[in-house]
Amino acid sequence: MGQRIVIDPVTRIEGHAKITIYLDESDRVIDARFHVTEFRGFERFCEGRPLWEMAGITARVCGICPVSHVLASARAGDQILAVEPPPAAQKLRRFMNLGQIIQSHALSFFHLSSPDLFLGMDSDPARRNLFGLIAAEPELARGGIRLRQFGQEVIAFLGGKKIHPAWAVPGGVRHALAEADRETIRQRLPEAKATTLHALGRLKQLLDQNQEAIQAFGNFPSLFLGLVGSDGSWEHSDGRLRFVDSTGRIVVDGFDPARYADFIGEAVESSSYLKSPFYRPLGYPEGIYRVGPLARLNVCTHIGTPLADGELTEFRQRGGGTVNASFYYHYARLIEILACLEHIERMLDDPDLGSDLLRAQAGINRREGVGVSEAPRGTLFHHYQVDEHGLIRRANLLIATGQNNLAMNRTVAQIAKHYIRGRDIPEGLLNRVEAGIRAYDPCLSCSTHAVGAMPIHLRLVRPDGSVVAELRRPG
Amino acid sequence: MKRILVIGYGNPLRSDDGAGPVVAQAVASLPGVETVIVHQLLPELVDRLANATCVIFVDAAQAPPGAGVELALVRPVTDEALAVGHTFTPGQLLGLTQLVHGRTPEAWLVTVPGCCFAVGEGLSPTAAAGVRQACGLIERLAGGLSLVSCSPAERTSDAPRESAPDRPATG
Repeated sequence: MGQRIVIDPVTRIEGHAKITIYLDESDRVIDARFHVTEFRGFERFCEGRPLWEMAGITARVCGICPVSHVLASARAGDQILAVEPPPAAQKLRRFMNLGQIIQSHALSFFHLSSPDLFLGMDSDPARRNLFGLIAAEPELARGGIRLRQFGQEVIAFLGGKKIHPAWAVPGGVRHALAEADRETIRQRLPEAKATTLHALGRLKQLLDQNQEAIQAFGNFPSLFLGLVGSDGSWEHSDGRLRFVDSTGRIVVDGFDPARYADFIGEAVESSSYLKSPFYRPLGYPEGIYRVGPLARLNVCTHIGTPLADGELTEFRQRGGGTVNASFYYHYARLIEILACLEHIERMLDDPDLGSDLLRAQAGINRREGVGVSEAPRGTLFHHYQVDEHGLIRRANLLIATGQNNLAMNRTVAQIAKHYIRGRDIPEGLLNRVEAGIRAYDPCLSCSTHAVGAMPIHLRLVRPDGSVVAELRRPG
Repeated sequence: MKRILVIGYGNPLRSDDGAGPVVAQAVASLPGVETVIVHQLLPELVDRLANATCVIFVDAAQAPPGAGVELALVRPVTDEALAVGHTFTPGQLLGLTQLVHGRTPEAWLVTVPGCCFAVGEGLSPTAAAGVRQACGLIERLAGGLSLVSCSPAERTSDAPRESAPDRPATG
C-alpha cells in the first residue's frame, strides 16, 4: 500500500463524513473510501419506547427528511395494529410526502449542488456557494429558494411545522388540509413549476456541454431498487418494491416489504458508521444497488403526469434507456420535483384532503411490522418488533443513504482514478470527488446542528505515516 | 407602522438553547410584531426579512451564571466563504436578503445567556432571567423606543455592540 489522500470533512452534504483516496507506489489511485464519521444510535435507544411514540422519535433522526421517517414509522405501526388507514389519511400522507420530496430535492439541487454545476467545479471555492450562485444565476437561485420554501409550507400546513412534524401516526394522521392552505398551495404552483422547468433547461445545457465528464462520474452497472405502482408507474408512498438491473430487466418484482431481509443483506465495514446494504442473492459487495431519484426513474415504466412523462422520455433518450451514470441523479431530482408538483395539482381538488375521518384505532394485533416509504434519497424501511404492550423490543432502520453506500464508494473511486495523477492535486479535482458524493445527496443525519466552518483538509501520507504534502481549503 | 420580525432560533430539546424560541413565543402578541420559531436560520427566511422594517434574531449562547443579555447590531455579510451548507448566521441571512431582494431591514441579534445545553427541556435560572430581559427589550422596541436609545442604566449588560462577531447559528 502506498500513500493516501484524505478529504475531511466532505462539505455541502447533510452530515459529517470524509473521503480517503489510496495511492500505489507510483502515485496512481487504486481505491477510494467514503467514511461516515458520525454515530446516532437511534435503533438502540428506541428499545423500550411505546410504538405510538416512534413516529415522533424517529422524525428526529434528521432535520432535512423527518417526514420520510414519520411516514415509514407510521406504516410499520399500521402493520402492528393490523389496520388500513382511512382513504383520506392515505391521501394526506401521500400529499405530505410530495411536499417533502420537493423541499429536499430543491435543497440538494439549488443550494448544495448548483454551485458546482453552474459556477464550475474549478471555480473559486470562496464563491462556490449560494451567494456566488445568486450573483451568477439570480433567477435560478431565487427560484430555488422559493421552491424549497414551497415544499416546506406543504409540510407545515399539514404537520403544523416544517421540521419534525409528529403528524402521521399508526393508523392514520392527525390533521387534514385546511381550505385556506389548499388555496395558498394552488396559487404558488405555477411559480414552482416555472422554476423547475427553468432549472431543467439549464441543466440540459450543462449535460450537452459536459458529456465526457459525465461518463466518468459514477457511471457503472448496478441494480436499482424502488417502489412502483400497481401498473408499474412511478411511486413514492405506497406500491410494491422492484429491483431492476443495469439494462432495465426486472430482477425481483412486488416483494413484500416484510421480506426485505430475504433480499437485502446489511454488511458493516470498520471504516464507516454507515451500513452497506447489498442485494443478498448476489452477495457482498457484488450485490451493489442504488436507490433514490435515479433508481425510481429506472424502475418505473412511466410517471403518470404529462410534463414529467415528457421529461422522463427525454431523460431516457439522453441517458441511454436505463441510466447508469450517477450524474443523472441531479437530472432525475428535477424531474421528480416536476412530478410532485403535478401530482399535488391533481390532488388539490380531492375533498378527502379535508376529511375528518383520519385515523383507524386499534391495539397491538401483531408483534412485528415493516413500513416502507420512498424518502427523497431512496427507499426507507422501518422494522419494529414489539411486546404485548406495544413497547419496542427491536428496531431496524434501513436508510436510503446506506443503501447507496457501495455505489458512493465506487463513484468516488471512479472519479479519483479519472482525474487524480500524482501528488499535485488542484482543489477543483478534489471538489469533483466530493461532488460525486453530493450527487447522491447523502443525508447523514445532520439533524439540527450547525455545520459551521467545514474546510477540506487533504494529506498525502507515506506508508510510515509521515506527511509528504498537505493542502487546506480554508473554511 | 414598523413591522418587527422576531426570529427565535435554537433547539427546545437542548435546555437553554431553547431560549430564542421561548422569547419569540412570549412576544408574539405584541402589536406590530411577527414571530418565527426555527431550529436554524435557513435561506427560505429571506422573504420574511425583506418584508420587515426591523428584524430581531434571538439566540442563546454559553455564558457564566448571572450574565445578562447581549445586544448587537447585525450587518449584512455577502462575501462569506463559510456559506457552504444550508444553515446561515444572522449576518449571512441578512446578506442573502440583500442579494435576493436588494434591501435589508435594520437587524439586531439578542443573545440570551445560557449555562446548560444538555438534552432536556426547560431553562436554567440564568437563561430564564435572560428571556425576561430580552422580552423587555423587544417590548420597548415594539412600543416605538429605539434599541440604541436605551439609557445606560437600562441596558447595563445588554448594551448594543455594533458588528458583533457573526458566529455560526447554534441550532
